[in-house]
Amino acid sequence: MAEIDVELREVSKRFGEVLAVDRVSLQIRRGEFFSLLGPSGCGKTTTLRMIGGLEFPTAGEVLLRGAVVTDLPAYRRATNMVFQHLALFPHLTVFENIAFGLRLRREPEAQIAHKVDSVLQLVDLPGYASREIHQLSGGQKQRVAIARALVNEPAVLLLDEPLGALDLKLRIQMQTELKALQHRVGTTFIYVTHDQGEALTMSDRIAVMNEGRVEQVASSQEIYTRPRTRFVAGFIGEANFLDGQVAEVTADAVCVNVGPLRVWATGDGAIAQDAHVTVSVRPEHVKLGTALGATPNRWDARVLDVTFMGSVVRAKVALGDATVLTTELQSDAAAGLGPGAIVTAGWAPQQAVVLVR
Amino acid sequence: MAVLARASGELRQRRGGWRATARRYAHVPLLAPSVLLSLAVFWVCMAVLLVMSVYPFLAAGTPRLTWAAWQRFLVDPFYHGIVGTTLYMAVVVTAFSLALGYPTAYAISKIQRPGWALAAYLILFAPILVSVVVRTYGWLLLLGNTGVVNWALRTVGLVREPVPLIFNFTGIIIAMVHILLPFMVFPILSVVGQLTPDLKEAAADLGANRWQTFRRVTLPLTLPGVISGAQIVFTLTISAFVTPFLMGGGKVQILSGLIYRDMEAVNLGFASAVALILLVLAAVILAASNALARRAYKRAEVERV
Repeated sequence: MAEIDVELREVSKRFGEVLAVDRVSLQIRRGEFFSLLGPSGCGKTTTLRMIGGLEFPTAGEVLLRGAVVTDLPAYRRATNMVFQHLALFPHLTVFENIAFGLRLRREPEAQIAHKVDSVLQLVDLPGYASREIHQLSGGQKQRVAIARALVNEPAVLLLDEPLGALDLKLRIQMQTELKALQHRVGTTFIYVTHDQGEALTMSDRIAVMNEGRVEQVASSQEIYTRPRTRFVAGFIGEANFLDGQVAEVTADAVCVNVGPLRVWATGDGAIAQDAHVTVSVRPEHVKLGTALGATPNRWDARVLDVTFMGSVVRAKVALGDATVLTTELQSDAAAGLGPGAIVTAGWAPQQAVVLVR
Repeated sequence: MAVLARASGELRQRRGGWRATARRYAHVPLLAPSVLLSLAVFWVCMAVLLVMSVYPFLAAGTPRLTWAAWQRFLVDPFYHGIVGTTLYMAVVVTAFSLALGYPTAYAISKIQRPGWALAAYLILFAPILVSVVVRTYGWLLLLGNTGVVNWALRTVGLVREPVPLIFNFTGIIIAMVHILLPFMVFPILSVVGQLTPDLKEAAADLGANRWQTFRRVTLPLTLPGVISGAQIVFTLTISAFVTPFLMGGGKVQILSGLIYRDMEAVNLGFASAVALILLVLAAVILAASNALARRAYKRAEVERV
């Protein structure tokens, strides 16, 4: 097990009447790319700011490399932040922006010049040292902000939705670069975002937050394929939700009565007989016709509508009277599919997750 | 491409018409009244002053070129002393206004509740609505030997004899700082208000304590406001007449008082020369501080992503 760089123990933060962060406990490993993911107002930024010392918890403890830093102000912590609006100093050049932290630590001039130079190489901005901030493009400012934080060799780099202001193309490019950069420097990155795609592509592990609480902490893949709560399943990607009651529990599957349908799915953890549960199935796992292999989950379905989306086609199908599912098929597999058609629809039990309500 | 070319061609044609010309100069009539007024009142008067300073007896009908007025002023150390006092007064008033005004502006920008901010604005800026003469007489009453301030000082036992606070330099400074303070606070307030809290957070995050954050981030970014506030207060002070005249009680000699005295004495040639010298002084100091301000502004051009 790797060393723990950041630990939160039952951390809460109250702003007046609002409980922004509610008993959050996390362990973030050294060298990992960790994302705090959730909708706006879920407490992810507040959590990040408490790690950075820009906000102080109402209750609980914050540990940095094993030392309690709960009440230590930002300027005395070994963390550095890349701010959402970057917060570059407009009155200083690129060089002076990056050298800001080094100068405060009174490092010798030659060493400062050397470090600034290397970090500019690292973020792929060699020769930009003497530029003014207002001469830079959005992406370049982004890199300067990252360089300004990284040059201080922080124990943990905190990133507060730093790509939010960029256009889509640049965003995707910066995502790849950030991930590569993190690999090269090996620093622990804690990344706040509301964009699930961004979190999935970049992170080693993700903590999904909602209403001040952590809903699930797991690897990108696990978060997507094995969500623990309905919120996680709905927030990360899309899902069909079928509410029902557990009819039968076997060694490797669970049977749930959803209205008249007997649905087979798999659960994580203990699932009790007769419990009220929700079955979650991703649209791409709902198969139609011959694409459907051997599975107990197979029903006659009526196609309601079909939407062409380029490489894929989305269709709405009705199972019986009450249940409507969204399915996503490869375009070539959807030839001849139209509203009113009757097809066989279903999914493999291991691709459906039982969520305890 | 072709469509684009055609569109730009049409645009060029349309731009060439007389309508376009009329539109381009539409703002000129709007500018005319103030330009004419400025020309008539300021520049013509300045020209008259210049002529009068070398032809002092023009009005009497005996035009004779003489540099006597200029010579007198530039040679006599008495007048150098007056220039010195005037500049010194302006420097001191500017310094005190800045020392009081900067924290005030900073504090006002921090007020969260709109009602309280409005109250602060009213308290600070309402005095501008009252005549300078009235405010100066107010200070005479407050600071006189039998005024409230001296009464309080004696009651508390700090002094036995009344402290002379009027009809001297001290009195002028106190009243001028009070009268000009809003002109210092306002420009600073407008730049302090634009500072986003994340710049200070970034400084703290990079290891700066509060003092270092102020010195390295807040102060340089508010410098443009400080410079324009200082310019306004300085120029208003060197040309101020009423307050120094009343608070100084004729005992403190400054340039504006000198002009007044010589005008009264129909010593028009000399008064004109002094008036022009005052103008040149103000212009030189403004130009110098403008050069400084330009550098500060260039740096502070905030352009966010």
